[in-house]
Amino acid sequence: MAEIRSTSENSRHPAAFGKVHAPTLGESLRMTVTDVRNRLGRSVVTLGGIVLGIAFLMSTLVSSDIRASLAEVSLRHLKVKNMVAVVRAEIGKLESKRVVILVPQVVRDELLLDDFATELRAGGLGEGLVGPVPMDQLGGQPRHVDDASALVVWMADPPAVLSADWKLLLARMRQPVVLVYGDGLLFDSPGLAEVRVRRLLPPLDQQAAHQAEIDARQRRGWWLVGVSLVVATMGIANALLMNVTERYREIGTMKCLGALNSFIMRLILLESSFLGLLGAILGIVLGVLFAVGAYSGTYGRQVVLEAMDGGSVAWAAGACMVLGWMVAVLAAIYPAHVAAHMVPADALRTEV
Amino acid sequence: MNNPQRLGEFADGLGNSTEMDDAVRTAGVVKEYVMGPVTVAALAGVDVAIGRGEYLSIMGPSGSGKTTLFNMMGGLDKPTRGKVFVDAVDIAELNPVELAWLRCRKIGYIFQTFNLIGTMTALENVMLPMSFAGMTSEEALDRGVEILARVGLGERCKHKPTQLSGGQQQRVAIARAFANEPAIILADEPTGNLDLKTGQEIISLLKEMNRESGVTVISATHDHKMLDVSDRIVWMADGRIDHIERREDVDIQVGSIEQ
Repeated sequence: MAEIRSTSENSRHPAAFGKVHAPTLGESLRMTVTDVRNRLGRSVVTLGGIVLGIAFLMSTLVSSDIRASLAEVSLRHLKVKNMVAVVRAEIGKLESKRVVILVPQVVRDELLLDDFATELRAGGLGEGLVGPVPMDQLGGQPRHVDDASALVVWMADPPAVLSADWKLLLARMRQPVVLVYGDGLLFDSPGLAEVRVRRLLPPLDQQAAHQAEIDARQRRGWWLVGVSLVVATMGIANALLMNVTERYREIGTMKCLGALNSFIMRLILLESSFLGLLGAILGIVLGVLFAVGAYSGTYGRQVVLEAMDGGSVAWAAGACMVLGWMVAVLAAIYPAHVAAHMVPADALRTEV
Repeated sequence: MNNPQRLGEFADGLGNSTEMDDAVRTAGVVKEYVMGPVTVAALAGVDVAIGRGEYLSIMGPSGSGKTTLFNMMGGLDKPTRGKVFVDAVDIAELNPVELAWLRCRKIGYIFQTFNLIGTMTALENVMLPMSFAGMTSEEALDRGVEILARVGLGERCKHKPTQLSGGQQQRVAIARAFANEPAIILADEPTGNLDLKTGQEIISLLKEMNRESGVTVISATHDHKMLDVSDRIVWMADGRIDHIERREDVDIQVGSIEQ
């Protein structure tokens, strides 16, 4: 066997090998978009898998949110009904009566207070409802309470000891009835014998029971969210896996044309990112529409839209976006790596 | 075909060149597949050297190892044992980047199933390897159009593979293979999916380009039409070279079907 010697001017020693040009990020991105557009049929199927998975997840998240809000609203209505009933029980018919609501500096349960006030006015009190009046303002001008039939003290913990101001206040009332929101009751002090003090809300344990039921229902809702998360992940992963393995032959061909492994990986990751994000966006829109639609059927669109909290919907959308993108990319990485590092003979042998 | 000058280069009886200016050379190439307890040898030791500018056909029945040998020579697969030298470079020594360069610039591939990228036009298919070679898109466009015209598809530049016949697709594949002016063309059953007449056209085209540019052509094929244009024919059987013939040693009689 003749010896191996290095050849003429055109040295083929590996050192003389040139660089293989790998298209830039911009070019790769353009190739990706064109490719997705050209393979629209296949891309739509892959996209469909992602969209449906994310739509399912998003709709369970939004549904859970709507349900929580609606439950809160219904609980509030229940409380308001109870409170108005207590007022009526104490002062009789609301027409031509006068009720003053006192509030501290920091008002708790504002929504409840608003609903309560609205309900009282609508129930016959009309202009007779005074307030909410801040407690500190009262010191100077206690005439608000003149002729008042009832005083609503909107404090969680009213003072245990009646101060002089309070006594003054109560003295000016016609038939002083004090209705306390919260669990603390004004401590009865001497000189207050004729003042009736009642609690506005049902006892705490009753409230707790109601709340517990709502919480239980919410927890069941989270189970569904969990299931949808798993389904979405698997659907997206499957769609992307299929998308990549269908292209093994094409990848093998590109390797024969001189494509670098890194180029192939980049191309596939770009495409799966693109599909993942696009699918997530479409899925999010679809999911929201579906959830709103489903609840609107029962509760009416207005109620549902009010119940929705923009903040948590945005949060859910963000999470779905990240999930869609990440799962798509991760699901594509493994087959992409396999394809990029296969010997072309094997890649080309693949039957599509 | 019968080139006395080139004959002188073939020093040993098998026609193997001892000049180290071989396009491709294999040394003791073995390819084994392990299937459980049994090891199947697709190639059981092959030594062959192919000279520059030569048109070589590898022939043999299915299972003879011709496609496996072809894959080894083209760097499409790795041998279990033995070495493959492309232009005196052991391709097993190359890292992935160098291997990519080799496939981009030195070797052009043609396949039985054409393997064009279906979402690109004929022109874009031809331009793809040129973009890997670092050509600007203007240069690539010009050369692409030129080379498509050379293979007879001047008006079909903007067609997608689905709009082209088998023969036309193979022409695009040939244009693509020649895009970066390779030193070696590897053709795996180029006429396998084509009818008689189209197959003959393709073979003629390949031979023309072999003559014009002095490119080495290595073809693994069943097609006996290839015999006429080959400088040497390697006959494979059971994973080994059965015998090598030179074109002038082959007696070909061409008949025709009376129409």
